[in-house]
Amino acid sequence: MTQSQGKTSADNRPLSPHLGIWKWTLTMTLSILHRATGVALFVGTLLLTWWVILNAYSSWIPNEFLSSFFHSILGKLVLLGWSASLFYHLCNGVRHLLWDIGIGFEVHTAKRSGIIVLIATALLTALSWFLAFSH
Amino acid sequence: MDYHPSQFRSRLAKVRGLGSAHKGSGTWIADRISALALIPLTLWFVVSIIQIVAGTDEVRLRVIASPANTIMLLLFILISLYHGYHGIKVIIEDYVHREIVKNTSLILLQFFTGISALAFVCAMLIFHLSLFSATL
Repeated sequence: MTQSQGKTSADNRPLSPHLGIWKWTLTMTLSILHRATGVALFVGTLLLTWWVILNAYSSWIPNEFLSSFFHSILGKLVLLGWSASLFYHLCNGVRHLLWDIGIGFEVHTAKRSGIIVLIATALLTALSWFLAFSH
Repeated sequence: MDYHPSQFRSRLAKVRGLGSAHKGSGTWIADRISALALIPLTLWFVVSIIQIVAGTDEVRLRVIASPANTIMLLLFILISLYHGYHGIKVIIEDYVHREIVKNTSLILLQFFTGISALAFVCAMLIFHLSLFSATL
């Protein structure tokens, strides 16, 4: 398309305002959070993949490479963020799949399922961290 | 009245690339099916991680060395990379508008995801070969 090959002065037309005027609703926030957690998960999965790869090509000692980082507070925060993103994206993903077959499209239902997703995310994250660290 | 159809036709160069793409529903379906597969795979992954972190060394070795878990891990990582690739592709297409930057990013995304997936398969092979030779 000729329009997207670099912008001409004719294309710098004013846009309608968006973020500046719309009130933040729950459904809006959860939607962009789904995208944001998706990106965070992708980056984290790539890091996990390369961690495994690098460990396999040295000797497989699970507690060596990067382990000191993940035992630090910052490392634990990163892991907490990734696991919370995982549970959120999982639960909201199920909400999306239900929408894809037509379930739950009413505004009040969507708000309610959104709150359920948030509660489930918090519970799953807390439960998994509790189980992992109660030796 | 002497009109010729060619008088009313836009130049081909102007309309090329416009209109419906006639494809994309396959991608939409693939996204959903990979998402569906990732539901049990993610739950398995979380359970395995908890077992590895919270378990004794004996439990840890059993979880990591089990062939079933290797296959599950391969499925989890590969399908996650596939699902995530499609997600990031859509994000790039949504927010990047300069054709050169957009297409370069999409190609780099494909390369990096593909290389990561293949290298991961190799790593699993190497790891399991070394495990099996250690038990011989």
